[in-house]
Amino acid sequence: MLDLAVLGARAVRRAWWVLVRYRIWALLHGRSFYVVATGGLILSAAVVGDFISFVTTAGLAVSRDPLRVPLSVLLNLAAVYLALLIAVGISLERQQGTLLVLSFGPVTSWSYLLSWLVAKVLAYLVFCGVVMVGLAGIVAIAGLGFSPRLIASMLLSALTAMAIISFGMWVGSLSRDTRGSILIFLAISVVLVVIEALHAYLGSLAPEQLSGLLLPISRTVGLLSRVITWISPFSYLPRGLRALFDNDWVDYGLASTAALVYSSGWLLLAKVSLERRGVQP
Amino acid sequence: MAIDDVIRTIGLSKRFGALTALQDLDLQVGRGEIYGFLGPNGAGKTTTVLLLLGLLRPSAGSVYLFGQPMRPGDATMRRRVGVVPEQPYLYPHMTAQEYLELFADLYGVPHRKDRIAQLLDAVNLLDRRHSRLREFSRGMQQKIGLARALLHDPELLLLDEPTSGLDPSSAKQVRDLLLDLKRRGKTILISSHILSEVERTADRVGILVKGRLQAQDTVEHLIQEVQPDAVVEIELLAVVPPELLEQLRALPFVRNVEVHGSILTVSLSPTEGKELHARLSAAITAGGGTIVQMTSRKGTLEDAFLAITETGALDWVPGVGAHA
Repeated sequence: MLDLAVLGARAVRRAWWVLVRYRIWALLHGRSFYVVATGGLILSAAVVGDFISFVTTAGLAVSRDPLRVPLSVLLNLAAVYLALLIAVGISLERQQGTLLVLSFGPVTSWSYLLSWLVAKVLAYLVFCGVVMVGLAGIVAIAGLGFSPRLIASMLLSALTAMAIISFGMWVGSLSRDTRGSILIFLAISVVLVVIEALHAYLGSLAPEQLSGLLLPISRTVGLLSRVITWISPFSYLPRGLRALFDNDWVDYGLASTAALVYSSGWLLLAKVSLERRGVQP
Repeated sequence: MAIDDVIRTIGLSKRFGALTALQDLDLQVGRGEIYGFLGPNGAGKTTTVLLLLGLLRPSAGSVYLFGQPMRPGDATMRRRVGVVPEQPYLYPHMTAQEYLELFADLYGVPHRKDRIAQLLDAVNLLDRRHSRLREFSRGMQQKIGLARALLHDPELLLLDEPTSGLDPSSAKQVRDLLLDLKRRGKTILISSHILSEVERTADRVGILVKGRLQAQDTVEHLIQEVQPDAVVEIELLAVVPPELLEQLRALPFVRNVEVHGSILTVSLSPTEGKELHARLSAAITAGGGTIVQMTSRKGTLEDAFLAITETGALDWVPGVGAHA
């Protein structure tokens, strides 16, 4: 009897890691990962090419770190893609009934969600590896520098990218089907982007233009924007990358600690949501 | 609670808002027993299974597995249970081998390759182990689900429609597998609409109707309760004369007589002594009838199931809550 209890407890403890390995395997056996990686590399090659043609035309370099923009674009793209993938993946598992079958065994809601989160953060690092190889090729052809600091920045950004990925996990736990999770993900993202764009637009207006109704709107949007800085999943990765590129380790430390706390919050909410919704299709 | 109870529920109830899915379920299944858990669609069978596994929180009552309280989310206890749901719910992009390897890893099965080969062989799918699960028929998928549930050699098996979608030969194979598991002391709770399968395998059955356990007994007792009389169908050479009918109805061991042309359906009371068939045949011959054919009709689990679920007249069914 004791042996069975020990076996059971061991199976529960290692379930999350077995699932992590399976999810990485599934990701690398699928096509979409390579499509996104290739798309990202083409995009970054275009940005680097644009930078070089500007330098050639103007005869001067305006950036000491020309890979900063393409890298930021690529890493944000990767994080959003992985967040969408985790949202769709969790809701698909519920929809297909495979979540129910996993729950018949030694898989708890914690180990299930943790496996998704860890697998996607590891996938982010794999994506960074692919990007690194691709960018090294691009800069070698373009004759630009590729510093070890960029490599470190890419890898360290995984902590702040977790904020976006964990948000996707919560969306997945909330929805019964894949369409629902995509819609929720897009709806929340659009609201956040609209508020940020509105804030940028109103901030660009001269004070005398902010009269009548525009003034309270501007104040409200400004307030919302400040709140969004902390609650938006999309704000942590750019902040972390900025700090890394600027060698500001204090700011990076703050951003990654905040991202860890923030991701833990989503993990907790996802667990509650998964248990309230149930595991059956 | 008996020491060998593998499943025990006390007053188990589950409500979803205004809907009562399960009410006051007292279930007791002993070690090494095959228990048929029957009921029409929506009777609460799946809810019961989810409650047993701690995947749903009961509104009232308690669940004990292996003599210990089952707490919601207790995955350690679930390691000792194998479950086959009604739908196979597989990962379609994986091969049978990859799928079973994933679950063998999850359950920490030692010598997993050997165990997988053994189970695939038992369900006749060893030669298809490298085929993708999406290419499998429903019956083959069902068998992979069964192999998955047996991977970790569980003490308790919860099976929901394990033979649905299987051809007769595969269904027999699964039946033999279950009987072999029973011989090895495994406890099996089987929910199925194929009542002839349950009749052949189950030691006891429980019938759930609208969330309430309406009957629980051995298959034989249940059939006898529903159809206590021995029924005999007799074909006569000519149309039954009315006077013969009256004579038969007057016999002390005859409960009821129905006539359709030259066919007589006679219900005999088994408490009225032995050799009733011979006495009945003698009475017919004496009354001027010529018997062409005489057959006994035995009650089936299906008769009992239909009587219990459709008539709703259940007060006479004993054994509810009893542990045979």
